[in-house]
Amino acid sequence: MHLVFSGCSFVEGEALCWQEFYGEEPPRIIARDARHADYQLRREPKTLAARTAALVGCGYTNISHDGMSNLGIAHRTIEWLESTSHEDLTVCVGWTEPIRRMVWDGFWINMSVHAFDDPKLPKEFRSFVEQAILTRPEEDHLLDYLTSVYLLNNYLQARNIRSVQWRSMGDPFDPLPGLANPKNLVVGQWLTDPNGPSWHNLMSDDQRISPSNLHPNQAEVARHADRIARAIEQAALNQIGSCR
Amino acid sequence: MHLLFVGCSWVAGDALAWDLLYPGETWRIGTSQYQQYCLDRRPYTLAHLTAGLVSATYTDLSRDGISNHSMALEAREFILKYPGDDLVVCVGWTDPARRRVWDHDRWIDLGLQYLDDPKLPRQWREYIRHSIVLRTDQDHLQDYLTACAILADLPVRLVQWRSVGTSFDPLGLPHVDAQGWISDPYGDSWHSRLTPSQRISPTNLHPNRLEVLAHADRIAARIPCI
Repeated sequence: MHLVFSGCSFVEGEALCWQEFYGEEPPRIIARDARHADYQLRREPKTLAARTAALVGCGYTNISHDGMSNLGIAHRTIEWLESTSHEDLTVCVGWTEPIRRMVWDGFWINMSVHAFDDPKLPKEFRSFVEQAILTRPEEDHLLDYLTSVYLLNNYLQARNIRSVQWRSMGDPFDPLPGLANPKNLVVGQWLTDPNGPSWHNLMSDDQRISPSNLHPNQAEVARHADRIARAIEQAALNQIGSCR
Repeated sequence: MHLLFVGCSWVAGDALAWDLLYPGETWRIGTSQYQQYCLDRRPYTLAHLTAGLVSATYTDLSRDGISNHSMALEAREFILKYPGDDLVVCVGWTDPARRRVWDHDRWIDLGLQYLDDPKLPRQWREYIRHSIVLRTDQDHLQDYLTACAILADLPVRLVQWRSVGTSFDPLGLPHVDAQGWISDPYGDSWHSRLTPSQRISPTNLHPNRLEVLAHADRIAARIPCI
């Protein structure tokens, strides 16, 4: 079996073990310099993907990236699946907050409200975030999320690829007008309801990195890896059952 | 067999039979007379003609101004609720530069054509400017190809074509399997290929009745192959 992990910073690990490696030095998450590259390498064994793969006893590929939008997650996962030679795959997807958009800037980038904090954000993208994200109602964002979920789930179902999915970020919501309840339409093993509370919602304060960094800490990532590993086992059993 | 047609005005028919049904009267969209016209034009529509050619029943969900995103989601809802296994979905993809958005209590579709409407509220004018006019071709094409992909993997037979849009380089964009397509998903659209004599008039560039019949024939020819 080979695992592929896709998601946002909750899957990637963000500042997961920065303090352990670099003490009180401020995390250089956005800088993407040599220090950040060093951090990424040292962090790898402690990520959700590595921990889960160790529990399952298999290889893995981690295509998660901080700041990813849901559409970005869906397309990146499909693109990876289309190009891989790995067989016996299980796709592990942590869906992110709906209020992000994938846009073209010579390559695909992901815009969100967090981009507003970046003083270097070009004016045209600041206007885009304001008009196409901040002032839009929740329904628009949820539609983008559900579109991404449907897109990837159709793809996985059509190719009989196992998956474990969960909402990393995003608040619970009622089914959208004109669209069936997503609970009834998704495939694979879901650790959370597709329209229910997310991992972010369900965490207590002591499971986060710090009061100002609300990502999961190492103990919580280990716990989540355990949940995923158990779901992978169940997904494999279900597939064996459906073949018989 | 049951056919589901989804598409924009190119599938719905636009002024296709206005001259026959209301000779000498000015084409008026959005009026009560137009509502009646939409019912009266049914025998001339692409859905009706295709269904006649293959002796099938049909449902026509097409409507003026719809976005690709709305088409995919509305077709998806229909497909998932359809009880039989004899469904063929016929999709005429539209101009990629349209967006499905929530307007207080309903979904609407916005496109560049609404900028001509002096009654368009300021908020929508701003939205169209930032989300459509100022966005790149890749943003619009990615939206179109995502809509295609939503339907591509559903367990249903599809006949597809581009009604509106120009050819483009798919570099960096999602891949769409061209099986079941009348035209290349990345290539020229029905609109791009029409000659002036195949259009309703010099000012209304939609296909005329003869061309709609010819397209129904192309679709019907694909259906037994599926």
